[in-house]
Amino acid sequence: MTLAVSMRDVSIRHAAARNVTPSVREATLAIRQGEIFGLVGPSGCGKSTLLRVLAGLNGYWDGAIELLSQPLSPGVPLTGALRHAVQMVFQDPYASLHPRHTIGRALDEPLRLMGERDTASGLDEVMRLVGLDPRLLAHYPHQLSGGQRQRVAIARALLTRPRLLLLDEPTSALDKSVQAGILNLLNRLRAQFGMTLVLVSHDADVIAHLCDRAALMRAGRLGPALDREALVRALTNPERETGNE
Amino acid sequence: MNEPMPTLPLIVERLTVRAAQGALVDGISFCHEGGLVALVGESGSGKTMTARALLGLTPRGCRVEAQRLLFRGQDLLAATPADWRHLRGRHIGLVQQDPRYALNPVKTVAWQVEEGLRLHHRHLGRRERRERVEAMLTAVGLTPNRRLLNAYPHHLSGGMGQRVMLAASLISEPALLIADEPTSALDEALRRQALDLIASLAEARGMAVLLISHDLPLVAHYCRQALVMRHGALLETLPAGELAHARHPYTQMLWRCQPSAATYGQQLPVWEEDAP
Repeated sequence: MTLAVSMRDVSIRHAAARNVTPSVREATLAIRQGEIFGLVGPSGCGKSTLLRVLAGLNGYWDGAIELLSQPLSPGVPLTGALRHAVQMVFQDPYASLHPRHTIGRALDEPLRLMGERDTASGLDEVMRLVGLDPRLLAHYPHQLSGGQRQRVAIARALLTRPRLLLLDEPTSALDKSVQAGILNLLNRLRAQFGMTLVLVSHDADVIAHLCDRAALMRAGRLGPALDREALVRALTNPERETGNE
Repeated sequence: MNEPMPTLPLIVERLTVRAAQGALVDGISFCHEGGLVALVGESGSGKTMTARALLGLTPRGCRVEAQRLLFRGQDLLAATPADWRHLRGRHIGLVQQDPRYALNPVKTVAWQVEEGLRLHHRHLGRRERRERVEAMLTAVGLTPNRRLLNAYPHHLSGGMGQRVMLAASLISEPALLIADEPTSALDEALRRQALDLIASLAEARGMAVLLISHDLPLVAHYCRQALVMRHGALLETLPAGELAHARHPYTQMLWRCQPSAATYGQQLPVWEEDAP
């Protein structure tokens, strides 16, 4: 089976502090194409750090990483086809959308970068794909609800037709009822496009609902990949250690 | 129907908060009879605005109307700014969602926890205040050593910040604590800890708590009663333990939209008008 992500002995440091202990140590992981893979752990365990490396946003790592069978090099941003094929959705959609650009303008940009001249039909299509009324294209981010904004952020990521979608706590800023809609959308997108989704969350219930496989992370150490049965057992274990302090 | 005792922690009758664009809270009525009572609903349902009206903190341009708004028998509608200053912080405490925003970033933990005593318990001496601060920090599960007392909010983890905030609002021993999403900035594991703490302190002090939350399983576990709000109105009032078997379809949806291992591969219910 082809792998969407393959990592061997990856250690990650923070850009600003190269001499301190790595925040992720010797992580080894294989994520299959077409699966929804979860990274779960308490805040500060390094799960988002790992995801940012996969998105090419942090170059301070060593080890070996392959994304969609293309090797990455430390310090080099994603190149070539990977720049379209790998997309990321962040936790806070309000922070990731330009406050003074309309939704239409925010979504138009990736389409033009893809070389499309006539973007209007593409914009309408992607809005419907994520369950939004195309009339919202004329609105600004602050005029939308949190759930609508997160749908826009997902739409923006979908425009480049990614094969690997990285999601950093995509629903933790949302109401439970709005979260349900986004989780349904993610399941639908996977079924429709056969995308690989990598989901980072501290919410065991979200991981248990969505993921085919998952790995637990704690204090910079990545555990082995757990299949469905093992992951449900690990997540519903009442003796889950409590956080920091 | 029995007339509710006027000295209950809170009696709200037809509370309405009006802004230029319409009613944000639309004629809600409830009695808080002590213990933990939850106000649940989605964002924009008016739960935070209700809390603000109870604290006299509605934004400029909003008008608060009610037939009755009694806090332990005191008429809040007639409260002057001076009355509010006396009530707020002293008798009605507030815990907010995110310690990163609610704590003052340029003041130490000791200063912030002590503030309630300096403002509302002026007869206390300095040493006595410091002793109470240390006792309060211990009560919320922190160790009041010099390092913590002199720490600034950015030194604290989310869970510690939450406890400091709780200590700061409980130190003046309020009769009513309004907790506005006190756990949604916390990890799953810390959530239970924080609510265990609020519940046990409420019981030990005989304090009434109005918990604002959109997490129904959490409410069902900790609260006595749940008030479900939608579009500014009170949809239904029910014992929190019965949330799982609510009669109203909207409350049912709020309950069943919770993802879990059992819903793997299934569509979660969403409310029709929000669905694409």
